[in-house]
Amino acid sequence: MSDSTKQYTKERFEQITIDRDQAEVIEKPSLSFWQDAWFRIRKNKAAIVSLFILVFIIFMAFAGPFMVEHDPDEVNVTHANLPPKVPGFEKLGILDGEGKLGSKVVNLYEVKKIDEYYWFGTDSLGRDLFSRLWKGTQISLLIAFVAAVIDVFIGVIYGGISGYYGGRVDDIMQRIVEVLIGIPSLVIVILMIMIMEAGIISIILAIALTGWIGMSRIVRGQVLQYKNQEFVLASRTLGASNSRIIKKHLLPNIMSIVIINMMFTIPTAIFFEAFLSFIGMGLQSPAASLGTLINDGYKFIEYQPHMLFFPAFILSILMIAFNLIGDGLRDALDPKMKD
Amino acid sequence: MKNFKVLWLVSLMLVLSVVLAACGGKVSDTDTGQEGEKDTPEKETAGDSEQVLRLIESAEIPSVDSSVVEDAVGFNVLNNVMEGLYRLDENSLAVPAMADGEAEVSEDGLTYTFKIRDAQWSNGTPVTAHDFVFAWQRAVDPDTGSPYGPYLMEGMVKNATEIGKGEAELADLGIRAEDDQTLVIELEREVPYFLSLMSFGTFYPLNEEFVTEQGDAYASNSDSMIYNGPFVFTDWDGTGNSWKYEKNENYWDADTVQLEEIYVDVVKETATAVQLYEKDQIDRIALSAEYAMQYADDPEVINELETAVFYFKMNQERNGEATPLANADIRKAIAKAFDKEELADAVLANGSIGANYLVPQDFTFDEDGKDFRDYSGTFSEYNVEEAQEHWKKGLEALGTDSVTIEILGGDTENAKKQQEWFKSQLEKNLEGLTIKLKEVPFNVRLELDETSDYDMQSAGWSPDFQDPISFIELFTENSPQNKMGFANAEYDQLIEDTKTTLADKPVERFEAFAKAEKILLEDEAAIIPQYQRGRMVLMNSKVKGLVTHPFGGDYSYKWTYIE
Amino acid sequence: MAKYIVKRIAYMFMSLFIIATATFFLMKMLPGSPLQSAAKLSPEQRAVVYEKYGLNDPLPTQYVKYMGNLLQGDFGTSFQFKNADVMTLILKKLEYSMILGTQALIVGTIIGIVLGMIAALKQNTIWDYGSTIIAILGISIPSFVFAVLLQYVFAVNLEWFDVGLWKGWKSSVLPSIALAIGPVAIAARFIRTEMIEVLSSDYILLAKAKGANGFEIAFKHALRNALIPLITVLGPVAAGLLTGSLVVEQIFAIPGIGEQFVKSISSNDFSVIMGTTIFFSVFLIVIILIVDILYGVIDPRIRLSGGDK
Repeated sequence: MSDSTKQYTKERFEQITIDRDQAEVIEKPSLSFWQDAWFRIRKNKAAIVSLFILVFIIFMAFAGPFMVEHDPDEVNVTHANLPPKVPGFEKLGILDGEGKLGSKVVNLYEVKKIDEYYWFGTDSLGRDLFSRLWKGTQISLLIAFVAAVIDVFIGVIYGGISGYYGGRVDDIMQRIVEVLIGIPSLVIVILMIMIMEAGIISIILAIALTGWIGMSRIVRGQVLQYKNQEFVLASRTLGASNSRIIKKHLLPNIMSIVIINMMFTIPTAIFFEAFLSFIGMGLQSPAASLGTLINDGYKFIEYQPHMLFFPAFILSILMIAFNLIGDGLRDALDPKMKD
Repeated sequence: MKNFKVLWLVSLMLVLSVVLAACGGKVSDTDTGQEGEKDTPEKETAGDSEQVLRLIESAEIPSVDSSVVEDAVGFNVLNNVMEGLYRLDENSLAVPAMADGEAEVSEDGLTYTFKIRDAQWSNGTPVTAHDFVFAWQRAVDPDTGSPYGPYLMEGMVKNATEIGKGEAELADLGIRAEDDQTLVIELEREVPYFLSLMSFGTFYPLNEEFVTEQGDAYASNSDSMIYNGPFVFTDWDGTGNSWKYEKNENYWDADTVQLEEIYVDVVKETATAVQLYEKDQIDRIALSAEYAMQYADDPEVINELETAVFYFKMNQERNGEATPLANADIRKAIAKAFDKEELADAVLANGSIGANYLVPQDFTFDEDGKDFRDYSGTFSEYNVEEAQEHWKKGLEALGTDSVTIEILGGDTENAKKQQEWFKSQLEKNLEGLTIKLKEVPFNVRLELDETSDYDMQSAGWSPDFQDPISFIELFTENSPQNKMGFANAEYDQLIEDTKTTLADKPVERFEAFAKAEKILLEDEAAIIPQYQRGRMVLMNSKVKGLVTHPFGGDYSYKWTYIE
Repeated sequence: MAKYIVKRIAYMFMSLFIIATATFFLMKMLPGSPLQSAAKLSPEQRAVVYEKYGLNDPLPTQYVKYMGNLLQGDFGTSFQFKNADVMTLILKKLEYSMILGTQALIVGTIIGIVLGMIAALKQNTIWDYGSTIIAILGISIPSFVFAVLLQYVFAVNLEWFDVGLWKGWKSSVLPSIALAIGPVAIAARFIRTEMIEVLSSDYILLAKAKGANGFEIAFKHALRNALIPLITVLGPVAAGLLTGSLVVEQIFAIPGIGEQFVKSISSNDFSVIMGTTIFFSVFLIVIILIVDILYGVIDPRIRLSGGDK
């Protein structure tokens, strides 16, 4: 016993004084919102893999059309309807240019005496489907991103104003939302597309203008929740202006939920675009999107299934990736909201 | 949890690719099997030679009221369940039907007298001359709102124009029944193709008693109608996607009719139609270009040439300003700058043929059976060098080295494909030309046409009666089809002549049409013909005697039978 | 409660009024004429035909006339089908869509619940992964891609079902499955999360402690509590079926309301577009209303009058 007490000799202790500076020091490295989010999402392998796939698809959407010598809009009807042929794979017996003709399976490249390689084959006007696929992906992504951003923008402003100012403003704005929510958005989207000149811009507008309601409701709910919390009250007591409160306190707090929802808005927009193109109300040709490519491919499903397969596959993968990233972000940013 | 997510993702990718790949794989195996079996006994026995025909249509029936009907499906139904004074026979020649023998024509060609055959409606009442009088008056009556009645009768049947303006009574219309069996028709001018018009749906008889009794409900479904044609129409609820024809036992020529029943379903997707055909659920489908290559060697493929001709309308004045197309050289350059053969064979690939003319071939013939095309020539043939010469001259005249032209066209798959091809051809062959495509639904295009709000427009026309004038007359200065700032006095005069001084001189008349066609296509290049539409059809080889017509109702099933 | 419902119904009519007005003017902005052969007519002839259909009146007059008729339940006559009353037309077409939609919703939800339960009860096993994969595929793969695949595999290659057309109930199988994939996915995901949460709650522990067997716990306690929130998502699911029907009906050549709507738009059939839009809206609004009311009835903790404040 005495030995053990001996171990703690007086010399081994050091007297410290309370240092005001020290009190505020945080031992762990300070993480910004994004660092924290990254730190957490890193552990979610599904989301990470999805992220890589997504980055890859985005990269290909821009680089793909330049990887082959064929221009996505270049028409060459003598090369129409070719199956995929990739150098190197020929000897393996796949992607070797064999396709059905009538009831026989023949090598269409040999039949038509074509030396070039079309990696994903060609469509009915002889356009290269590889470059067309990526060009289409690019346009689909563009439509989806822009539509989602506009969506979020309107949603955040509308929901924010409604929630922050409350009272009569909120009442009126919410009544409007209640009325709007009963409108079948698809019907309005279709009508709007018919009225506006067909093209990318009208699709974006039509999707954005009908999609913001959900976002505005979520934002309003969040703002209502935060605006009466102590830190906001404290800030207000200290004389912070409305804009400062919104900028410094409210926005950062609702940011995560906005981003999560955007991750789900994007695939919805991709779907909408593809859907509209599939029923023939989409882009002005020769522009391609995943939807128009799927629509073209559907006609050939029996003889040239690859024409449907590639765009349908990319579309599905995109949708899955965005959904998984959305899930991952939700888990990472807002652990309370797991579903 | 984390492992689980990886697994989730991996298996997800696997499943997806397996599912999709599996489908891809199955294609060849099962399909080749199916193809091989196609002509084996299974299919032979399936038909039995029961006299039943199974067809599809690509659209629903909007109306089968002969006064109101305005679309191909409706006219086709009418052609098979009703009968006019004349009917198109197996060779698409107009022969007396409800008329008992040929009509008696007055010397000035303005009065036609028909004897009505001893025939019955499907409810047993006799068909009389009064039925025609009632039907014609109903079709021209502004209250009916018929588009075809005024369109076909005004300027032809006496007083039709005045009735449209409200200046004459219905009873004044140039048609009257002398007695139950005698019908007299008075025309305003001599109409050389009048008899072929008598086979057209708008001129079919209607039983006044029955129609009045039904009121608004007339023709609202297959039970609220009576029929005097080879078949009666059944199982149609007015908006439905399927209907049926049954043999009409009361038809005067019922002995000729062999089919007992015809089933029709509406199928809009060609892919679905092809599947149904392959599974022997229907006997006849029209193929779209996607299937052309695959079925090219199939023994059941039939190529039929239609009488619809497609062309570019070259608008010379848009919003009060002259377009680049006001320059004749620019128009001629474009006219020669695209390969019509490639368009027809590789892009359309449905049996269409490239057209270097406006009036289709195999459509109108003189009295000796000589095709109108032999009277006329070919115009604006594909020739890149000449096109480029014209183009250079045109650009010089305009004082520019680049021109942007909008092509207005349809928004169907087929139309889009063609427009994309036009863009690539024209831009390739004419340096400095940029083509902007504008693809809109049919009725939108009509509206833009109406206001001349386009540069070039891809349009088409199918005739309602058998005479070159149905095409040539389209582009006179005041025609509602012109709307492209084209006017040529000589051309207008030639057409006026065919209606007046040349009306009873068939040969000179055809020559005048040929001259007018040359002015329109070669001298002026006011329109640029593209192709004459064809139809690539897959038909069960046991179906015989299905007759196609160049105008009016597309098909006759009267002579059809199952072998 | 009654007050709440009355209030909601009042909103419903306001929504409908706005929808009808908006659609009316949007539709009048649609370029093109509803009369197909108008192009063949001279301007005078056309004026006569338009007069007959009331298309020559100034817009406000047409609007007032239309709304007046609407109040009396008269949707007008179709332009496309010259003799068809719009209401009758919609009801006729609706029959097919209802069969497909109801089958898809019921079967889809039941399968979804089963999958979700399996996943929750056998958490982190192969069963769980399997059902989760189905769920994520269901949410991600567009119904038209799925419909095309189904048609190809089961109708064309295996020949188990019809390729298309309506020939009795058997024709409804594939389109219903294509439509059901959405409900399956959403229900499965939802039930799984809810059940996992419920299974870890105190009263389940208590039930276990009291010796209730697994079956009893799963069905009597866990599932019942997990089902309540499911109702909230079924509204949007049903609305989603509407979207799906537009294209699935086209693919399988089913003469339903979705297919009709697309057709009416491309042929400018004003009265049918109006009728269908209003009909879709009523459908959507009523579903939202029913879901909200049901939610209140089932779970008294939710104070309806409070809304989402």
